[in-house]
Amino acid sequence: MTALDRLTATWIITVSVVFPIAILFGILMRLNQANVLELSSLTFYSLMTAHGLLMVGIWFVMSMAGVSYLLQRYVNVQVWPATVGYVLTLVGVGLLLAAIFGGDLHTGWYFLYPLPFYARTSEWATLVFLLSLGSLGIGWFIWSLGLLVAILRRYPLTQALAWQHLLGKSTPETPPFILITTTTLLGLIPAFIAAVILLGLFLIQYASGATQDALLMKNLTFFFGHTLVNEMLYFGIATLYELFPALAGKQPYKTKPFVALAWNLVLVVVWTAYFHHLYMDFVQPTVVQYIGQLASWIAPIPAVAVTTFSVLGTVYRSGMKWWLAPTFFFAGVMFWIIGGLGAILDAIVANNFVLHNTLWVPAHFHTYNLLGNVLFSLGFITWFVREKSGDDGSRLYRPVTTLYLLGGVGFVLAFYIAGSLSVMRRVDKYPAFVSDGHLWALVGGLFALLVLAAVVPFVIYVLRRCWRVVFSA
Amino acid sequence: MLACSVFGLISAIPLWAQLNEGHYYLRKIPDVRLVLATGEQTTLYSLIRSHSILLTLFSARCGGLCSPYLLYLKQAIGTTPQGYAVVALSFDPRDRLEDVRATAQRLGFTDHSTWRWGLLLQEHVPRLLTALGYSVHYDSTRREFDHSIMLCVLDQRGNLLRRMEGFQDPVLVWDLVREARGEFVLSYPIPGTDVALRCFELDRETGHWRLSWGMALLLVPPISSFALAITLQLLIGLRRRR
Ligand code: HEM
Repeated sequence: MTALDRLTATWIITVSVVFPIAILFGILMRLNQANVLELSSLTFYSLMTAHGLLMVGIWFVMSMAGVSYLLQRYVNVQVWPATVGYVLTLVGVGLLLAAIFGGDLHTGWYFLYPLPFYARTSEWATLVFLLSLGSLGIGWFIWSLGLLVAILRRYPLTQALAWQHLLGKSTPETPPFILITTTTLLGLIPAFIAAVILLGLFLIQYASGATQDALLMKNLTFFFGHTLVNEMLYFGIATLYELFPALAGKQPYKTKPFVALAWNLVLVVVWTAYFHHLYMDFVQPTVVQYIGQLASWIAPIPAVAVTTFSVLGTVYRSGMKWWLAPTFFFAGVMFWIIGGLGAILDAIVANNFVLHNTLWVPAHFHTYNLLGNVLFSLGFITWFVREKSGDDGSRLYRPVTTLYLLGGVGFVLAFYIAGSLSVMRRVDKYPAFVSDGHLWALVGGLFALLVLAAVVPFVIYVLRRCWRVVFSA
Repeated sequence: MLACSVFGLISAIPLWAQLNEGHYYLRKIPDVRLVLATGEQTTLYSLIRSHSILLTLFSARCGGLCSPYLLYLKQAIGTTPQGYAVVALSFDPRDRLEDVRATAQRLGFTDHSTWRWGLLLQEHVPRLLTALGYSVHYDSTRREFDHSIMLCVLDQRGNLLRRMEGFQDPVLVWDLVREARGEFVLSYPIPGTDVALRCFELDRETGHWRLSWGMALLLVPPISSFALAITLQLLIGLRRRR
């Protein structure tokens, strides 16, 4: 086993341990909203903050760990940046949990300014939270830079971005995996820079008491947060492009001009899509709102269209042997489309007036996360486990996929229905005028239990095998 | 004449020079006791039970701003509020119910069912004035009160939603009316001088705004990402050549 094998297995173990815990937090929240449990408001919002940050954090690092592992097929990947990333992630998560469960930090996952200064019971929680943000940001920045340098050593920037294919040339060839990884890394680095600026402004206020411009802080927060969650999805897609054709027994994908165009477009447009989070901020210049509307359409559509046709084309007449990995990848793409449509509907200004901050929002992002991006990473994990242990988890195939997909669909459907009934998000107990919320919370909570029932045996299966990879000679 | 000159003087006080409205936002106003011009004894909270209200305070014997201000409000919002109520209360300990009625009549409010006129119970006045941020100072030589002139919106739970001092553009008065009717009214704090990096700058003289460096800061991340990639590319090329 190589050092990268061990590091990847360590990532998988860490993520697999945290995943069921974070799901449990989610179920507790849903059962509280259904009035089955009686959590205090503080406990609810602390759980919500921990759940959101842990989920986004673990699936971001897992998607990046998958890409780091597969990148060695093309370039020489150094292990130290990823190791620094791992250590600083652990430190960051430790500090974060201390702030949330020790200092009652309950800002919600995107810690909108000025909440970190107020939504906590102990003052130290603000500083610890900011330090955790710093640790995570620096760790991931170094890791991303390490990957970018590894790519640029072999592929000049223009080639890594497949500009020769854009001009119609077929050589030198840029594999889709390199193209998507490069655009994603270049898209991600500004998000980290935005986080550094944000952190600096938070720290200035912490140290001097000088207030910040709330609009600027909100722009920076979503530049960071929205871009991060978008890009983690693209890492998942890169993994899919790399592994899926081989799983179907087909030739690797090639970078066609329209594929190159789609991903280059994504690179630029993804930075402005976050403006749709500020539709309700009427002081934001109107032109920016139009850009947000357009970017919200342009950012996902080319990537979704290209990926969907590629995947459907691959499966068609392939004689694919369906086991955990291809099923996860295939289902992930299909639900990505559904979640993406839900998101685009919400990102249309006129609809946003109705859907803003309703449960429609968690509905769409849980669709392309729980049933999309997470499945891409689970696809990678099962592929990795089979590579290292030879076991494809065939005994788990039917129960795990059935429970996970059935539970996941029911869980997000309960969010969609409640959202369309105007039940608001981020509320621990629903007021009487949205009493429908209780029923759908119960339905969602029960379906989420099915997801947990699928995840627990899957995690045990993965842990056993990855443990051996970490401690092998 | 007096009204005109006072109007000219006060309207020159720009909005930004007023108290920080955000400081009072959602402040719970105490449930003070009062007597309506009809003679009915009641409380502030019973007036807000059916509607949000626009509340203003006055002194019936004020020789300065009160009458022109009440007239100005009458002109701006009319005498028959719909979907909200207007309440004008005297804070002056010397005023009696007849004085309040006389003020209402002098200003053309013969029908008491339009605006609600009343007299605050003296021991409750200080609590209300403090909660509203309403300043009152008795000038013994003139034997008059120096005081603010102010209109505010209270919702049905007794929370202060908006607060505006002085004679402002009637459009702004209508913002308060719309707020009282439960409409969504845009409002935002006017930037202070303690914020270093802002998205906008406001010209305090003209009220015009322009984009500022805070917005430019949003360009830094993408530009530095490309700059970083190109620098890395050059460095790698340089090392390879060596
Ligand atoms: C079965 C698994 C899951 C359950 C039961 C669950 C449950 C929940 C619940 C109940 C909420 C609060 C909704 C509200 O009322 O606003 C929530 C919010 C959230 N969830 Fe999940 N979730 C699950 C999976 C995931 C996954 C896989 C991700 C991301 C990869 C995720 C990310 C988030 C985020 C970011 C929030 C928003 C937190 C906030 O508003 O601050 N969740 N989830």
